[in-house]
Amino acid sequence: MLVCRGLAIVLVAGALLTLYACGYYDEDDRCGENMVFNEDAHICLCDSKSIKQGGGCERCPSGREPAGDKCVCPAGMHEDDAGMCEETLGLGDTCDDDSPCTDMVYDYCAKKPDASEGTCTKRCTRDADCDETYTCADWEDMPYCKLFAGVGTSCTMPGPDDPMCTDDAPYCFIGQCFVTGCKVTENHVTEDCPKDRKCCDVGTLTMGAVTTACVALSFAMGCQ
Amino acid sequence: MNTFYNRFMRTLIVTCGVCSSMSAAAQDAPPASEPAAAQQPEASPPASDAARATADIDTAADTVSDVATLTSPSEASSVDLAALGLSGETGVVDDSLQIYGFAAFSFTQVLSADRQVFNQFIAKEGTFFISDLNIYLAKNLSEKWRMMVETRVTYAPNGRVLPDGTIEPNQSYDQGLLGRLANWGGINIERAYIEYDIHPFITLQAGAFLTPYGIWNVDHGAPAVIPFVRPYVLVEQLFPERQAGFHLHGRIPLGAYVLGYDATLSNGRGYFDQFRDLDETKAIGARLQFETPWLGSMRFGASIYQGRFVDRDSDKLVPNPETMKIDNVTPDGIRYDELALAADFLWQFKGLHFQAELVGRNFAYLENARAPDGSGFRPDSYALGGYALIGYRFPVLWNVMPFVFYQRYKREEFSGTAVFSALENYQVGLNFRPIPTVVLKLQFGQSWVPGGKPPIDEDVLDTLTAQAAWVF
Amino acid sequence: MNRWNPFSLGLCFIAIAALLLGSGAHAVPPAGKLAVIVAKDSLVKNLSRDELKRIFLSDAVIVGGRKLVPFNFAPGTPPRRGFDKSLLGMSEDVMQRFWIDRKVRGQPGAPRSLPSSLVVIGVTAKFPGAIAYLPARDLTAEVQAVTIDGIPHTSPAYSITE
Repeated sequence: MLVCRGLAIVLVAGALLTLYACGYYDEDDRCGENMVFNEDAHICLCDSKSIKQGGGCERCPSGREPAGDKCVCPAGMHEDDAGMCEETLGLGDTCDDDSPCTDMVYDYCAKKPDASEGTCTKRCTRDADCDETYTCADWEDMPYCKLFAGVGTSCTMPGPDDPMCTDDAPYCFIGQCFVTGCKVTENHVTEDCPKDRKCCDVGTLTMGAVTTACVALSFAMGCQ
Repeated sequence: MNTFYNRFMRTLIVTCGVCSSMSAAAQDAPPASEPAAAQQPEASPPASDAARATADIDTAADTVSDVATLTSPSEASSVDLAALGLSGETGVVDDSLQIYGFAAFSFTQVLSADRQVFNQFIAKEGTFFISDLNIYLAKNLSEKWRMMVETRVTYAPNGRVLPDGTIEPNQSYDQGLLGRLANWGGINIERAYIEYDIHPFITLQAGAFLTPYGIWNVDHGAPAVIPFVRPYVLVEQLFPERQAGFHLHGRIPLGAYVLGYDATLSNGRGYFDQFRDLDETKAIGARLQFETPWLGSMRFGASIYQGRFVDRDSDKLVPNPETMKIDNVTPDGIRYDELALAADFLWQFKGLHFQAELVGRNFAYLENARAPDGSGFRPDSYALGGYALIGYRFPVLWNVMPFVFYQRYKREEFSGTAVFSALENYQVGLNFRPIPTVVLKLQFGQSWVPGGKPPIDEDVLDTLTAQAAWVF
Repeated sequence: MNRWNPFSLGLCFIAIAALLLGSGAHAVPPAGKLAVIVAKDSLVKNLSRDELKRIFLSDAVIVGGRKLVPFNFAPGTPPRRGFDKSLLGMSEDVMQRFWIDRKVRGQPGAPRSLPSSLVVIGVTAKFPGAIAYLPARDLTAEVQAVTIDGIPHTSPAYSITE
């Protein structure tokens, strides 16, 4: 009788505890607000409308979009004195030899190698000369404000074939589109990467599929 | 052929009979005596103050030489309790300060290829090292009050591996060595508590204590652990290894059975949990243990722990534009609520020893207090693992126990689990106890990552380990 | 074809069995009884075997409002070996390992050891709550023997022996 009582206590206690344990972890809701779980990377990422803030993700206000750790006006727009986003005339306009840039500020037609047309932007000497989402491509012979379209976009197909990735950021890795093929320089004297990223050797991480990539500063610890 | 067969059988029978007789005769001979120190492990208070400090040597026979010469019953009444270190008034059998401990010296050798990725995380070269040095101080303060302190002397932080892969020596100029550089380590406070018997079945402990769960958390000494090291699931600390707070415990006899219980209240888990609680919540824990005399002895246990982990920066002073005052603001940092469960089973039957533990933990981060992980954050997750060990202690060959051990552990989810999500391991070995205070271990183990992805793939890590552990 | 001789085979089997079991069985002289004793004025008259076992494994057992304090014979002595074996079911070696492991765990250690029957009697008579054991032939009037599961040490059914 005593034996049964004792064993029963332990069994009942064990059962209750097991039931209670089920309530803490919810497989269908593993991440916080404004986050999505990435199966490949096994981490929570901010969704396409949010930025990383402290220990969570904050949704960008309407009309703004994430760029690194900030919510900024979309490409081709800038913030006016009232803090509203307005179209930046001339920036991003299509241009070619027959239709050059006509804006006085964005008068430089930036073309990719072997491309017949490009987009209007402006020359620069440093990142601060450029609009929010642009990086000063100071590694070029003629530095200009460059837009790395699609960097950080969420993707699901590891490798170079995810449709969400772009020509500027073609490689999907750990759930995001990355700029690849950058040049690692000694002491990072120059970086041909977006302004919030560093060029790192990622050969071991990608099994040699990609040797270098522009990695977010928060992820680049130990990057040589 | 027939003749040969019969002659063979007769010879075999006679040989068997002779051997049987010799064996029986050998058992009548008294066992070879062992050194007195090793044979007398019980604590007892020798007469001299110096000897009192060494609690593991029973020298009662030496200290009472005067009374041992008593020859008549009437002289028994003249036994002096004080001479024996006993106090009839306080009821304390032994109130001396006991100093004892254990240490271990180990050797490990990786037998698998140098190129394996596993070698990033372990010392692949054959290495000798002191793996444990723990010192206990214990004292019965009165019949109902007791104290204990356990410290671990360690080489850490010397030899820590920094994020960039550098192995850092911790060195300092030692003026005692004429200013030469010397490596230095540290001391961990494993336990430090005082306890009081409120009732025979209720004891309250206050201080830093080992979390009462499973078998090999409180039983954490190298001499008590059968393989070279405790199972991975315990080392990962799904339950916190130790806590600071209150611990209520007791054992309730139920005839031939015993029901043991533990209940804990503590600071919870954090990097400074032994001396600073970074939030207002407290952690609670409990354990039930049922001991039976079934088939020798079987013990069943179930444990639970619930608390909150907090890692944050210190409070800041921030101006409040609404009140025009300076406010103290506590940063969120990283916080998660966790719940850990464990079940354990121990069976001992003559020389047979079987034990198994299953431990799991799940946790959920609080809003805006998630741990960063690369470009994102760690998800809510769970970890689960367990092991089983079976061995048999023979009364020969230094009381050898051959054992087999298997474990499997599933890690909680984070970016690292993309490559290494679980670990499986088995070990076979021998555990010797030439004398009660010395344990020798020799084992071979294999480890692998189930479903291994690049770069680990299907690599298997083979290791050979040996250890000498002793209690002093 | 030669067949096995069943008689010879049976003899050999018995001999082999005797060889294997011989390591455990040996000629043992009749063992003396070990009486469990308490002070003359103690309220303890009878204990169950389980209670006695718990006492000598350093668990708390309370009788008449007082915790019983056990005292052992010195290790290696016949009464000690017999008591550990017949009550606790452990050989000397196993017993020593048991106490060592408890110390490493931080649990209470073994009961205090005393060297002789006379000292055992003296301590039991004087120390509050003391309980001990000694060869029944050494019993004196200064202490009283308790029954175990209602069985006195004088009974043939009593099983705690040297």
